[in-house]
Amino acid sequence: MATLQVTKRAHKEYAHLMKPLLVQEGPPGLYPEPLVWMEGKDMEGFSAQFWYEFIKAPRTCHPVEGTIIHPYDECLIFAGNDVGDIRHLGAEISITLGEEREEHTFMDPTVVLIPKGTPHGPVKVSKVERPIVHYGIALAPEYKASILPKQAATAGSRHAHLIKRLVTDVGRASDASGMGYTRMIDEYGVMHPIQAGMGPGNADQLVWLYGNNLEGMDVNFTWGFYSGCGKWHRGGEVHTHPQEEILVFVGLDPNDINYLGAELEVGMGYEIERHIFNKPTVAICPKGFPHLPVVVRWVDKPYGFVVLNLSGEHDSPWVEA
Amino acid sequence: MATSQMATPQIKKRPPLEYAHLVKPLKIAAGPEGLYPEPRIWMYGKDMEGFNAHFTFGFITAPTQCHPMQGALVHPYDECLIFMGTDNNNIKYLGAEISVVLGAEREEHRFNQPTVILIPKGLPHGPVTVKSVEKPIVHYAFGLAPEYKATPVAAGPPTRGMIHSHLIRRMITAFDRPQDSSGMGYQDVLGPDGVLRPSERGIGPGNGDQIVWLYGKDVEGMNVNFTWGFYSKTGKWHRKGEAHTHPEEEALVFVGLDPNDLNYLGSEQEMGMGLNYERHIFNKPSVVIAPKGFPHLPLITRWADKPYGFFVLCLSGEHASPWVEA
Repeated sequence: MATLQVTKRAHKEYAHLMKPLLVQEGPPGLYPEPLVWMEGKDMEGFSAQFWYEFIKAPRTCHPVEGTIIHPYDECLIFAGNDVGDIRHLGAEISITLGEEREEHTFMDPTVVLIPKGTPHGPVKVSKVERPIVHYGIALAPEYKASILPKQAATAGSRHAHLIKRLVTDVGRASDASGMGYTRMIDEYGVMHPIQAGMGPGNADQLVWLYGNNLEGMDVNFTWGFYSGCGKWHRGGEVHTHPQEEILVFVGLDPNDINYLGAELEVGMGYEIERHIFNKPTVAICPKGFPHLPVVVRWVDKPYGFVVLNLSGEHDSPWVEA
Repeated sequence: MATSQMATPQIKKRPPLEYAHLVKPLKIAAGPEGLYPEPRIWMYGKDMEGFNAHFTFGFITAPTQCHPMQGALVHPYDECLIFMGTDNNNIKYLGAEISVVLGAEREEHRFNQPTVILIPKGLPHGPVTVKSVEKPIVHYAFGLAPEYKATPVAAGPPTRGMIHSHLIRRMITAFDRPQDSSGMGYQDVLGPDGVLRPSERGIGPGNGDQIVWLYGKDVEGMNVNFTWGFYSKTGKWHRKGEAHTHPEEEALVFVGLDPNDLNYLGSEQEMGMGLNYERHIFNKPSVVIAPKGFPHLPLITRWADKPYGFFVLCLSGEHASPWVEA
């Protein structure tokens, strides 16, 4: 039998699209502690910002004091970290919204929608039964905010439509992805992709919100708990989207934001160039960029995952590569 | 949304796979005349890029006579005939009663546990008689030469004797083995029952539920080490490293456990080949061929619908497996 000459490739072509999440101070006065803070410049010019942290005790944030306005749409997401029940928040939170400083309180996993120019904040976390996850999405590459003077909160419901439960629309007929996620929504708005056979590495529990659930914002995003090994999507290898997307892999240890608890590989490009990571990481997909498969190599602890796609829909044609 | 500032990279089409010739679907064939009554998987050196051994794999579902179906034969190379159960919860259960005739003396040896029969070069042997079958069993065999060769020999009536009883070995891992010489840590997952449990004990989630591994010293000094294992889980097989090599040739053989369908694997595997971990994916029974010194792995099970079987066939009595930092 002949011995083969083997050579090593010089570099990975798409390494720049895989980034470890940056833990740093956010904009002054916005959050009291360092958090994952990624702007467009940190993500190859991605046209949005993303941040992620844990809230372990009562506190005020976004901003720490007063009220702010952004010149772009924003989503503030508050999710639990009870991997057995994605519908459990474990905290009581309020936020003031609008010129009226309407105070809205919630105790379930929630996304607060902040249309461009809407005065908002602060967020007050008044009770914490167990640490929660907070992440945010801003639909512009760079953080910008104007500070408004502090003002007393009022009661009212004019902005109540901006407080949305973090569950999938049960009535959604199609996810437009071609991947079949709409087949697996339970009566409470939770998707169960592993149980439904989508792939053994896919989510145990997942929620997915689209533009029409988000007051028409140009975004669709997910939150999910993952603990299985193997491929995420048995239905195909590589797909693309007509809009930009990031895939954000995060840990669930409130005491170590740099811990992921799993090792994954993501295929990038038609070449399915393999990228492997076991720290919190973002995979950046420009418009039309082929990506997947995601394959989970091992899992020590359940982890979280967020898709952030800059379109109200989630067109995801499979590419035969 | 603001106008995107994000550049779309120039995307290339996938180049042809450099090592596709080293990953082969298993072939079902009638095999050498008079050896087995039914078609089985047969892979010769010529089917495996010149690999210096050949193997066959199949199921036995009812009492039968084989290897050969009548009479006896000799091969000009060492051979191992392996009989395993298909109860993937208990690798130590065979579920059949089998006899084989060995030597010029025509000694008949019987067994009812998972067993390897060692056939040193030139030893007359056969037939194998499967007397009873409680549950279908696996039978695989390999000859340590690329091409099958056999000469029929006279076959008198079976006799009783012990001259060749050392050639009948239970299919368990030796208890006294201080290390597996692989560097992969399998010796740490060996139970007192002679069974390795690498998935449960942390080698990697996709690794075997139950494995047995025999080395040259366990098989009368033959230049081979080999395994048999049941696998049912997903994920990476070896958390400790990415690619490794061996100083000798190796075949990695993935087989299903459905006695009614030799073409069914029941899982999908992703295998890295070469220093660039060129990715090869298959979900049918397949063999991966690793020439001497060829970097291979990682191996990742992408999905598993049914438990499946896997055996390593490495052409050395030991199993040196240095990790390669690639």
